[in-house]
Amino acid sequence: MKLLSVIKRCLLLAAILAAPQSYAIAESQVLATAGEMSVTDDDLKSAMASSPFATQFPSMDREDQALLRGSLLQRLVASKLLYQEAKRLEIDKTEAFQQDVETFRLGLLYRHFMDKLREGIRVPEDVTASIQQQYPNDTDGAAAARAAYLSDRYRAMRYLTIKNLRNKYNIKVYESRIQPHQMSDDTVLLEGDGILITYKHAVGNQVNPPQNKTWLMERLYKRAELLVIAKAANDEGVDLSDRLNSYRGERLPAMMIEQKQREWISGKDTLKKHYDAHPEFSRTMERWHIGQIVLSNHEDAEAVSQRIKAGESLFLLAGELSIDPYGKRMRGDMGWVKEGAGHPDIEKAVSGLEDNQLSEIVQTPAGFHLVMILERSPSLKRTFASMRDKVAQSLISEKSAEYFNELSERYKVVWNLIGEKQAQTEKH
Amino acid sequence: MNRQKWVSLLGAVLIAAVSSSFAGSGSATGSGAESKEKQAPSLPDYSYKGLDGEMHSLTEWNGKVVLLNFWASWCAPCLNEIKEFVRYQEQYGKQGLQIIGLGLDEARKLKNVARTLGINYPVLVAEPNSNRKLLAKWGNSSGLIPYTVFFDKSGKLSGAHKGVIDDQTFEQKILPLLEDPE
Repeated sequence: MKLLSVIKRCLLLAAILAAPQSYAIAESQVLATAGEMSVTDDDLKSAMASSPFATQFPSMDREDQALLRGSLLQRLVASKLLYQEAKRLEIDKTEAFQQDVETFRLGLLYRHFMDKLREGIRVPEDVTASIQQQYPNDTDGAAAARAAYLSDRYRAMRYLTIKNLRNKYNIKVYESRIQPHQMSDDTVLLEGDGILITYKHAVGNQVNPPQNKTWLMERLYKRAELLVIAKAANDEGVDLSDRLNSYRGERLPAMMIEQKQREWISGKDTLKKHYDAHPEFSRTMERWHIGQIVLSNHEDAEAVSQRIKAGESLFLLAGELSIDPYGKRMRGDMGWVKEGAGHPDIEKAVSGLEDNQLSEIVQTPAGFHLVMILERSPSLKRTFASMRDKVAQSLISEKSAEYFNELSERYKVVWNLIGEKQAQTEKH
Repeated sequence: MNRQKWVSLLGAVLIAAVSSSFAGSGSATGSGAESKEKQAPSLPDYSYKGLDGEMHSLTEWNGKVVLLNFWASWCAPCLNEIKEFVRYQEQYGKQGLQIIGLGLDEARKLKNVARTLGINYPVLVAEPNSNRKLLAKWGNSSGLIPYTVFFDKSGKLSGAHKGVIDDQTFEQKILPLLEDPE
């Protein structure tokens, strides 16, 4: 109930925010606070801009925009809750997290250095002139030739740069130590000024790494390239603090929820119990191919029932007499209906019928129905093994709702409803 | 120098393409009478339905520097460009700039975009299923959008631009038209 109320408030706020032109809401207005953290209008805009809906959003109807913004706002608040919980549990101090951030940092440094290297390459005037001469009136051809030149130059520059850095940082490779089955995790395979690569580093997270010298050498050189380039970028004093903080802000909540999800589904019988408790996982619903005619009153229905029982076709009569426009157009063929998806009274009436047996008259707000099952697709048993992933998703979804309620209690969530007040004022 | 020559040549080709299309069969969606096009100074007399439900002829904006921008709600670069157009209209409207959006999409979606992005200039709606032909008639045979044609204050076609009009393009191609007393 509490979650529902939160969602409603979220949607209300989002509905108001969906009309930025109508309500001149200040930039960076705080939309919600979760404990010590807040979500601002700018955060929401930025999340929207990087979401898969960024292009569709402007063309959506107001209500759909409101729903989307509400849902996104909820996610942002959830992320803030998870972040604080992760800090409380000191997940940011775990080796896994530190390693994750370090891998990201190295990647950023490498990209920064290489982008700079690529941007620094120019096509000399004589080459440009030669390309123009070679491809007169062919802009695509000239562009391709230019791109090929830049690509060649980049490859050469990259090779040269790595070679220079290798000398600069006094890199030594201990090739003789690369002996399959004779290395421990701590065996140092390469080292230099501020750079060290052990067997464990070279192999990384690879499970059962192949004991193959060529493969290992390749891994070692790739790792070495990453480290020397990253060190060179780092020595240049590249400031990555904003991007690293932003990464921490995104990664920490993700690790928190990943950890919780593992906990929720880790017990031996946890998933099986959930599967057993939800019969919808273990079987598909029976599906019926339905024929139907709807009449406006009981008398007509009775008369038509007699005619069908006497041998007339339900379909011909439905095409002629049914008051249900769809049924009339389809001549009584209502297609396949899943058990549980139809009107309860009609389902009850057909539940005991044989195929092609006409039902009793069923009254619904739509009229007086005569129904028969033409053919049926039986329900199927689904094994636990085949449904394991879906069961896990269902359990995670159930547990997540409980967990976010718990976190909302621990870190008070406050929704800023200034927008709501403005809406009230507008109404008056 | 070569590049400049090439760009100038391309510009000339585009203008020729758009001009020749004007001289052609006229707009399928408009009431364009060829004789009217020759009456200077005037924008071409092409009419389209606006998001307000009324028919609008381009001649309503005679005397302005007009940017006729072809776009659609599903076109991400168009939406980014529109955000800049809103700024241009705000900033240069008093100097005679008149941006006109010509949406190649469902009116409902165009309206939603206009509301969400706060479009501060008129948006007209092209007749459904005629987009490709319409663009071709306006000198864009590739059919790619965004696409913008622009007219000086005398209603004379000044140029066309395929792709997003960035600040540099705006400064080079549009601002001089605003400064021109006519």
